[in-house]
Amino acid sequence: MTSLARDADLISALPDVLLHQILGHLQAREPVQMCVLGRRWRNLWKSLPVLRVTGADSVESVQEFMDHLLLLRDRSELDACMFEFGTYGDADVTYVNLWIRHALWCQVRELAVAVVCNSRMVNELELDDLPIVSQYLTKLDLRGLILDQMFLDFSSCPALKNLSMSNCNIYGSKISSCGPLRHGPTTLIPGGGPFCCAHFVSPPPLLDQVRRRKSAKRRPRKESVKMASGADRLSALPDDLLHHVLSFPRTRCCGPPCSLAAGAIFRKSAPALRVTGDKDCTNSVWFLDFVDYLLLLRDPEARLDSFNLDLDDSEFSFTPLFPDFESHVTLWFRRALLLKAQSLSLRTTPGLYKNDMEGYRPLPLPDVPILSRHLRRLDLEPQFISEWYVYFLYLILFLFVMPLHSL
Amino acid sequence: MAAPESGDGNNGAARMVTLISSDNTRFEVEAAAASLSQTLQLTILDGGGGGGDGIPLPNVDSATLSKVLEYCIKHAPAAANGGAPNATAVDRAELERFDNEFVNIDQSVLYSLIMAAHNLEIEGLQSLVAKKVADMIKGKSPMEIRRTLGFPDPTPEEQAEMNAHMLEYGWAYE
Repeated sequence: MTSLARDADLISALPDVLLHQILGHLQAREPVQMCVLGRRWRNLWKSLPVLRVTGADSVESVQEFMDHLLLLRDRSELDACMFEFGTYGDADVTYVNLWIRHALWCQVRELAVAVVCNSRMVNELELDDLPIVSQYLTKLDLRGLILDQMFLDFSSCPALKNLSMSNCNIYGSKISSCGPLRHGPTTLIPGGGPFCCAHFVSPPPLLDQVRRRKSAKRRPRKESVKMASGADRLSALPDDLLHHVLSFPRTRCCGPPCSLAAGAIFRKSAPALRVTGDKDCTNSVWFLDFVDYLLLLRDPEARLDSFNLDLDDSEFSFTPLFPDFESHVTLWFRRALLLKAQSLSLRTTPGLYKNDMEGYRPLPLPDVPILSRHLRRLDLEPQFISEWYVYFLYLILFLFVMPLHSL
Repeated sequence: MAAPESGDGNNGAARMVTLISSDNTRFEVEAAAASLSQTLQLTILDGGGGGGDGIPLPNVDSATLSKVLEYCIKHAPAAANGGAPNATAVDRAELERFDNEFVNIDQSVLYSLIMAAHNLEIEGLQSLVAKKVADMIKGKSPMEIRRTLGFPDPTPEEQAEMNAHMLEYGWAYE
């Protein structure tokens, strides 16, 4: 027993980098669970540079976990990220795409995404048709996916050396890369299994060496999205001014969230986020995706002055979002605090929580203290105060830098 | 020091270096084996470690160092072939079998080994041990992991703290 106890001390004494290497072999859930081993282990998962999500069968079964993991981990860089799923629903596609974008945003160097199936029919998952832009990505391994033309343009990945695709449906005439791929066309396996190559459009893919510098000389690279001339002039404004202009309109929630990832780069650093319902938004689930995207793809270094969540039911019905909605709200606020938000506010129409369910139903917030040195203003509707009161007390305890100005 | 006993075949007698553990035990090994360590490689390229000098390794005790060298000697030929692209399947299977046996040891030795591999920058050994430790943990419940890694049963306070954490991290459990 004593020698065993000594083992426990020995492993706890290993430096973070070694413990990270050990934990990197485990499924992403396990390092989080190991926080029960004691203080030494409590925060290791937050900075773990490897994200391995390969043990689950369905995307749905890890979705809640991934939401929490990505929003609550430190935004530390990722060395490697591996996703592998067996089954997925239509609604899951947007999440998988978000996780991939998030990994790239965390400067991932090795990325593997796979949809595998035990039966012979692979149900390929369609990736967003957007080019990958990453200075850091060196290795990309894709299996069981549908890849479209824009995605196959890797000319914005100067470090990519190793690319492999198997069991993928490739809808595109060429694959562009920035420099030579290390193993040349041999690593490029457009047909690894029996079902690939079925959908090649005209000629099979060719490796097209795109010299970025040359094209940059001819025409300066613009945002990937073409803009009209008025929009061009707006885009030419300096960031500060643009942020100021954009803090007035609400952060829109209509349209599929991938449009956000493509065009609205400014939102990654906008200091004021005002999220409300919008009658143009036809699909309420988009709302959840939208806010998830907004927070996950945000530049962690950017100043966040305010995060306002306005759940006014008059323009947009939030009712279909229950009960997922409640845990999302909680998570968004925790994320906003991690992003050092200075002001948080939450508003609803008075009837929202009373109409459905059995009478009054508070937002179930987790029993965790809010720790923030940055929060200066917390603006909550009266009906939330009883629930948030406990947290408010914690806030007073921990807010030693600036007092709260209003509640 | 003793004369080098085994020739390399290619360039006659292999160069030997002396390593000195924290408890002052001297180990004489071929330079090629010691060079698996990135740290030692630099010293050896500078001409250190030969003759009577020896390279002191104040962070590694003799038990650990002899284990480390056992690994290095076994892996040196493959490493010399540049990651062994032309090694036969038999050679590779043999190395794999050796690796599996090699890490079948007490936990305390594993931790000393991984620390030594880290300090000496022996990448292969470091990842071999990391993988072994991960395999011991993989797929176990938190309580099983505690027992496997030799953590004492939690005191009531620790248990309360654990429960609180399991509540906070409920999303990490299926």
